[in-house]
Amino acid sequence: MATLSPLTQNAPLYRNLVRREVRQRYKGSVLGLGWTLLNPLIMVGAYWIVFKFLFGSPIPNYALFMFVGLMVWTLFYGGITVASSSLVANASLVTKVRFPREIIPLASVTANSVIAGAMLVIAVPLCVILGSGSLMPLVLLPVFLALAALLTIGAGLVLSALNVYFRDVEHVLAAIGIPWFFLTPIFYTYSTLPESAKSHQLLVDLLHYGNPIAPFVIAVQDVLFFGTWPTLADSLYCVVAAVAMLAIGVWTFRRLENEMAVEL
Amino acid sequence: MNRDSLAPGEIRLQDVSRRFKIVHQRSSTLKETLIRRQRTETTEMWALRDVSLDIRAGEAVAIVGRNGSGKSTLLKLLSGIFEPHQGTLEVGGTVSSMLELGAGFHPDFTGRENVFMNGAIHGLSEREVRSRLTEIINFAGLEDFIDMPVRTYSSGMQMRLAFAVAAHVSPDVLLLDEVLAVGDEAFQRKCMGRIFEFRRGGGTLVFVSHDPNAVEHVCSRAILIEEGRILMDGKPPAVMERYHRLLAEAPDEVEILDYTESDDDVLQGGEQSPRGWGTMEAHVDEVRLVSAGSPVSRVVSGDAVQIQLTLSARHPIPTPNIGFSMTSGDGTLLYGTNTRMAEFAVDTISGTTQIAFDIPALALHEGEFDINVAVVSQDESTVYHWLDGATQLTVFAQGPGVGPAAIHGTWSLSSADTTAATSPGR
Repeated sequence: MATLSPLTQNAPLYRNLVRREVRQRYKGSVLGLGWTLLNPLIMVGAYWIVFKFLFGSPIPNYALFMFVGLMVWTLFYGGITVASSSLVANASLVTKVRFPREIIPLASVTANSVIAGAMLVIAVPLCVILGSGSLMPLVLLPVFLALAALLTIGAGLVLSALNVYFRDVEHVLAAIGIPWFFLTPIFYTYSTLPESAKSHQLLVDLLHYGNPIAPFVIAVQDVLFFGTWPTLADSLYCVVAAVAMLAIGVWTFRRLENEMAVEL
Repeated sequence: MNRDSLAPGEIRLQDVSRRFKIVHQRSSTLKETLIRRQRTETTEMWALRDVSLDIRAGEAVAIVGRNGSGKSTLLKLLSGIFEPHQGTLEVGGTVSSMLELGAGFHPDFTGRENVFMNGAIHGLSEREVRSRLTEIINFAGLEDFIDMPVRTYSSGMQMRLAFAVAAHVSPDVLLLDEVLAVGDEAFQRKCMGRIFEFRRGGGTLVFVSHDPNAVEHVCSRAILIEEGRILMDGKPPAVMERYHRLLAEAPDEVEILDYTESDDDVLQGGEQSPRGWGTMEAHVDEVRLVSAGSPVSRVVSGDAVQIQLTLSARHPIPTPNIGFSMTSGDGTLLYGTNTRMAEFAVDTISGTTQIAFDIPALALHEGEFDINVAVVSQDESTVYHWLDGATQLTVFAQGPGVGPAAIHGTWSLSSADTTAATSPGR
């Protein structure tokens, strides 16, 4: 990729931006990075009460199951959210200094992935200890996480560039966040749906493959939580979606990059 | 844009134009864009028009011009923030710019953390910043504050820190935008020293400034830009003179002060008010400065200026003494005179009277000056109207030198045996 050489040249700027963003997020708070883990744990606790205690989900180790899905969701949705507003937030840099602009959304996505990384550190040993499946599929975990990261970067590039021209983008993202979260199989699986839903297989498939992040969540749940090999359909979907999204992201960003300094 | 075909430090622009769209109804949300799609009115404006320019490596070039003339656009093109719409622009080697100091400073982070961030913006690695850190902190004079958040810094301290970082990057081309206006004199001297060092090292400097002294100190060449085109390219003194002439000629809202007031407002002797004080038996209605037949508030040193006063007397005032003075911004009296001192007889005034003071060649060099006027009785026992700061006059320099007074002269040199050659110069 021709874009890589200016990126390596600007590695110090990228590192500084990541560091700044990570530290900025928790600067002045007593718990600091502790919030990284406390936030998802509180969410998992609440959802456990609703979906396990009140609705009686059949999934074993339900809290851990949700935690794994939430990790992928955090990586993706958290990443595109911070990326979308990143260029506008760093307008003073974009309008005053010359450097490859993609560094800014890239640094935001990276800083956000620190949170997902912390969740991963907790999730992996727990899944190994509590899980009943095979450990072999774990070898695919880095692959799927990397693909999810590429998807996030691609989408982040598109959204950050669009947000420069239409500030609605970040508001749209915020508005669709919770519905999207509920439509993503994070606290349920498609195999444990009630009969009423199973009779509408087409609709379920639409929810599954029409939601770009769903196959990633399912694949990571498969290899990490259930200890099974992901389906071929999900695996292929992940590869194609990640590569395509990244290509779209780079292309869109290139197209919109030139006039950014004027627009901001 | 090809940045490699030139030697480091060389800059070449060929017929560079850059236009801007002025969107009358700016749509910044999606909804507005969709709704207005067909109705958005835009006019295009050329910020730069067919600019061709060659700058050799090691040259120091000042860019001057009025606000909105296109000089900032030129700097942004040079720094690569925008690209030209037409023409080619090439810059050899690395470019560092200090367009608006402190871009990228984060207020919640300490000075030290911001130095690393700022260094990274200028393309320095962490190791390079670390090796220059002490030097940078000392240069900024912020040893005691470097670990405090930047939000606690004064703007001067932020500027010093930002300049210190930029001054310790060694680019081939350094772009400066009005930076020397910051800090106290000692710091400005340090900046100048650093800039000279940079020039001695063979670096190319492009420098936007309004300060004629800085331009003449630092630069060997100056370029005057007006309405997006190069108006003049030459030695700094000549270009600065043309620039000042341009400023003085610029149409501006000339303040014609009108002091008519309602009768209940009339102040009796000794009271202070913005409209002056006095018995108001004779009243200064208007003070205007006229040069070349039209009212002005800005002139170039040496111009002919007339101070015109319009007075109205409530009842006939016998032999009033009418005067004015000029003070500099800090209130220092520069010159004052009145009709009695000049032995210029003014008979009884009644109704409206105009009186003028002619200055064939204004002997002020540069600065902003207050014109104060007064109408008093012949023996000065009664003040009819005393008005400090009746109007302001801005004088732009013509020729070298500093300070408010224009003392013209030439240098000469002679050896002890009196038959020395003189060298005209300044």
